[in-house]
Amino acid sequence: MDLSTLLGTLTNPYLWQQMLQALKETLIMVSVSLVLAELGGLPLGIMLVVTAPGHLRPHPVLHHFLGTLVNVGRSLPFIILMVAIIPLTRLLVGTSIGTWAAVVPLTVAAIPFVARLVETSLLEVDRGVVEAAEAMGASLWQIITRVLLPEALPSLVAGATITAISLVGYSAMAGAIGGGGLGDLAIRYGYQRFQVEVMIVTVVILVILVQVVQVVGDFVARRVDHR
Amino acid sequence: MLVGAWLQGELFRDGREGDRLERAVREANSPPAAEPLVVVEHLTKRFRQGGREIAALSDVSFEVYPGEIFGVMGLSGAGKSTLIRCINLLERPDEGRVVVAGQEMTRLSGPALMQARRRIGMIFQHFALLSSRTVAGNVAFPLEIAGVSRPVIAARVAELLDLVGLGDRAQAYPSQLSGGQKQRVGIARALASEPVLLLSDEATSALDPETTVSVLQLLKEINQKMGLTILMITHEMQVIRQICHRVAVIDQGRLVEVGPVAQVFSRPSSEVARRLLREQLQEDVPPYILERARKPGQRLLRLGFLGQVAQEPVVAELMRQFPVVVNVLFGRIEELGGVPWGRLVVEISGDPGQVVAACEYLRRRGVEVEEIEGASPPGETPGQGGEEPLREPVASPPGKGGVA
Ligand SMILES: Nc1ncnc2c1ncn2[C@@H]1O[C@H](COP(=O)(O)OP(=O)(O)OP(=O)(O)O)[C@@H](O)[C@H]1O
Ligand SMILES: [Mg+2]
Repeated sequence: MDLSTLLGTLTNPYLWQQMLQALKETLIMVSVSLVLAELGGLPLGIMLVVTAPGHLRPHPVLHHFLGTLVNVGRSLPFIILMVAIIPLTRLLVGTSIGTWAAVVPLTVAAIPFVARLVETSLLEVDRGVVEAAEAMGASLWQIITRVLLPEALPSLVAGATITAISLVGYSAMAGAIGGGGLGDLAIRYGYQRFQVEVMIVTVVILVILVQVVQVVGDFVARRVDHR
Repeated sequence: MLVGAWLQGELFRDGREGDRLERAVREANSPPAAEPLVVVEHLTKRFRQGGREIAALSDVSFEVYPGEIFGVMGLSGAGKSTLIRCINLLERPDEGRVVVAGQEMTRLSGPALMQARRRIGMIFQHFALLSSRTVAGNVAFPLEIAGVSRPVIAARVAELLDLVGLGDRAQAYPSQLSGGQKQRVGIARALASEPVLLLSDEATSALDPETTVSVLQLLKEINQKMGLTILMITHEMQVIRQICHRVAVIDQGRLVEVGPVAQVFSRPSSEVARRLLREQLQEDVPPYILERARKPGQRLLRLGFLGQVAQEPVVAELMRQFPVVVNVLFGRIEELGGVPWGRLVVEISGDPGQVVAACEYLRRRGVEVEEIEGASPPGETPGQGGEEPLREPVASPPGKGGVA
């Protein structure tokens, strides 16, 4: 690869059009699956915490069941999960190929991940504060929504940042089932067509994307932290 | 040494102390006429820990009357926290009953228990404030969960923050406050739902001595102005001494003593109470004075003047009647359950027989007399040998003595 080829590639408007499209697809996959995974993972994480021994509503059977479910979900390799849930994806999206189809396995893979992160965050909340709320006559729902979640917010934001960054990585794999995105672009051009420049540019964009997510996540976490 | 003058001039400027003492004693001997606000009956709580069972509370019974500040003291692990947590059922007792304001807490569960808890405020050793909320937000919390409307909450929060002297810190976060300020927020929050009872679990134990005094002062004011009944647990004698009316002592889960502060402090009947008291006194008396007691031939006495006896020039009369010399080394005046309490550490010298007689005289006059043994080597009697020891664990015979 010499300088002129690199310059030639970098000034190729068609490539940039492709890049932009891929970036858009990546952003869709990551943001949509992040939101869905939080929606699924938060309640699961909350249930894991309040059913734990000695917590607000100890329930060993349910706690154990949920814990096992989460562990199974987390131990499946993403690539296998992706293939295994194709029927579900078809059912939900109508097709098993494309950006939106990739959202399904990404979400399913991220839910148990989020659940564990949420569990860890909520367990960090000072038990004394939870107890004070109980002593004041707060209901379980009030304790969850007005004590546990607000008190854990900085940590929950940090967890969501980690999830988003992991999803950027996984979304590249989702490219393999036609999900598109930056990872897919890098593989198609860089690996299959030996256009290493394209791969380098994509990787640079991915690095920048991850950086941005981290910086924004850190900023928000700091803003909501009054500890 | 003009001990009598000192006693009269410094200790008892107020001639009405005698009335107050009499009142305290009357209250002590006859239970208050009112219905108790808190009734604890045969309370037992066991914890299983690693196959072993610990009886945190065994058959504890007592009552707290409306308007009083009731203290519970005991050594670490005695079961104080467990006891107070059983009152609002943060801990469910295994046996026994807890009644608060006519409502049997131990029968309640679910929403009824939540409702009942809203009538009981609680403050904590580590404040337990929500770090995610401002000072105002924290005080608003109990009102929010009780479904009070926003305008009412805002007005009430402002009023409460003024009461605890934090009107200007409403928008601060707890992390920006000092320990004493945090506890004031805790107190404001506990008062928000207009409770009939305030529970305090070591509320001043994380504070420095000065802040402790100001927080206790605030609690005392609240008790006096609003007539709020306070049940507080602590391992600090001085907390009890400063604001409590009555005190219970628990030891290894058992209630070993209960009575007016003046009585328990001046005539402790349980070993734990004596031990706690001794530790406190030890802290009060400067070490160099205790050092003196080590020297052979020195007899150091700790004298306690509670209430009426404190108004009489007892020491001066003693020196007139007995050929002994009394040298005051240390003196301190405090209030004990609303009664003046003077304490002296004196060195007494003279003919051994006369010294013993002098001590007898002091006891007859209702003065607590205890010999400070310093750290004399074991087996060696302090002072001249062969005489009966001056020390007497439980001071006066019942029905007689200082408070009579
Ligand atoms: N949740 C629990 N599980 C097991 N044992 C407990 C539990 N809570 C208290 N205990 C035990 O019960 C006993 C009384 O504890 P408690 O906390 O009431 O003591 P305390 O008087 O408040 O002590 P401290 O002054 O140190 O706070 C202790 O032996 C303690 O180990
Ligand atoms: Mg305790």
